[in-house]
Amino acid sequence: MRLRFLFILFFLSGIIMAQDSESYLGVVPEINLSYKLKTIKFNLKAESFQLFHTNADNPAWDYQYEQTDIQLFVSKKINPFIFLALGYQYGIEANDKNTHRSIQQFSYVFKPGNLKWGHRVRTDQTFYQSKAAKFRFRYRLSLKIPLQGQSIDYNEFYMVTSDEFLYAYQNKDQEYENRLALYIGYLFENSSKLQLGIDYRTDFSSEPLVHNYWIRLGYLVNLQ
Amino acid sequence: MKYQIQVVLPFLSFFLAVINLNAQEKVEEEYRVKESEVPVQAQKWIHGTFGEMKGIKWYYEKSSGKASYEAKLKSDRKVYSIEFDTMGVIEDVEQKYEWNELESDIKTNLTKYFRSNYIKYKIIKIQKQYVGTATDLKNYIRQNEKEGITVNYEIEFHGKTQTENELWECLFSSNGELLQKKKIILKPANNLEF
Repeated sequence: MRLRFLFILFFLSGIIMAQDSESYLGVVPEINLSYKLKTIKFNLKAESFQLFHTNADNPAWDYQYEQTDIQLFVSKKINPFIFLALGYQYGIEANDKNTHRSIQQFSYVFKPGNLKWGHRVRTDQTFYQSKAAKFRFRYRLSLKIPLQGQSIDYNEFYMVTSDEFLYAYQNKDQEYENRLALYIGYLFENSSKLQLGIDYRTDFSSEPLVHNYWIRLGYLVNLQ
Repeated sequence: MKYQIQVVLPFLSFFLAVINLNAQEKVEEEYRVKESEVPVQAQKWIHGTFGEMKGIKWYYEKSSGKASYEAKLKSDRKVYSIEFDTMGVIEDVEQKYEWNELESDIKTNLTKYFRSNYIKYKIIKIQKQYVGTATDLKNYIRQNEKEGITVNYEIEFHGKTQTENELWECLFSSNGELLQKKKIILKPANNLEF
């Protein structure tokens, strides 16, 4: 019941918001590898954005490569709930003008009952070859819900939903974006996870509003 | 060679014993099961004690290699977790408590333990554990009859020492003496952290 309600709410909000605006639909395959060494964790992530449909100007199903991001994080566990991380991202853009990004992150993950909550605060700085650097502030609230039993155990399904607000500043311009996501995941016995879901992004700074729907398929592996 | 083994073995066994004492880990897995999948003896005890109530949730648990069945239910505004072995024999009854609801003697003794062993600590969950025979436990819940019942305290907390900063689960006797200590191992949450 709880699950059905969330799904309906999620898709309704997308349909309502998509009126009189530009929207894009794409697919993002993602791989995420983690390696833990005592209180230090290394996280390597690669995700590739492939665009398949747009209603802007000339509505069409048309394949277009957007970008591929490769991220490396080093995270330090401060206590069982708090993690501080520094990261670097190399962005491979469609126009061949690749980008560099530095990332600073604070995460607070806690489990008061059966649900796991995550707060994430990020600041990042993106450096381009031919334009001014972009500075962003991001806050994300995530919720992980077991779909079988009271905790997520091996060979069980779970759901992750999150909402993130982004503020960006670039060359005196300001941008605001919201990212609402909903995934269904499966935890394998080797602690790896497979997640499929939708990442719905709204760019409030453009006129008309721009809605991006990214269907994400992620494979998350814990090497230790 | 023989001499080496004679010297090494006691050291090795001492080392392993220390590891065992200090680093017991709790990795719990639980799976929701239907009541019909639970041993009949466990079903009978629950309904014989609490009556034909609805809303009982049954779980099959594996914790540190040991399997058991657990019933979770709410009765008279109290939250109970009742554990049975795989044959359906009752092992213990746990009841959730708040710190303020504990008697002052046990609070004093527990505070003494936490303050002398941790630089910083925060209690997350307190459960009173009642151990006894099936009949004694039934009498305790139905009539508050305490004969034959041993009371322990199971406390989940976040504790920081000079070397560790972890989540722990400790079992204390009725007078606050430490009986068992386990480090709680949480499953990685990379999808929430990154």
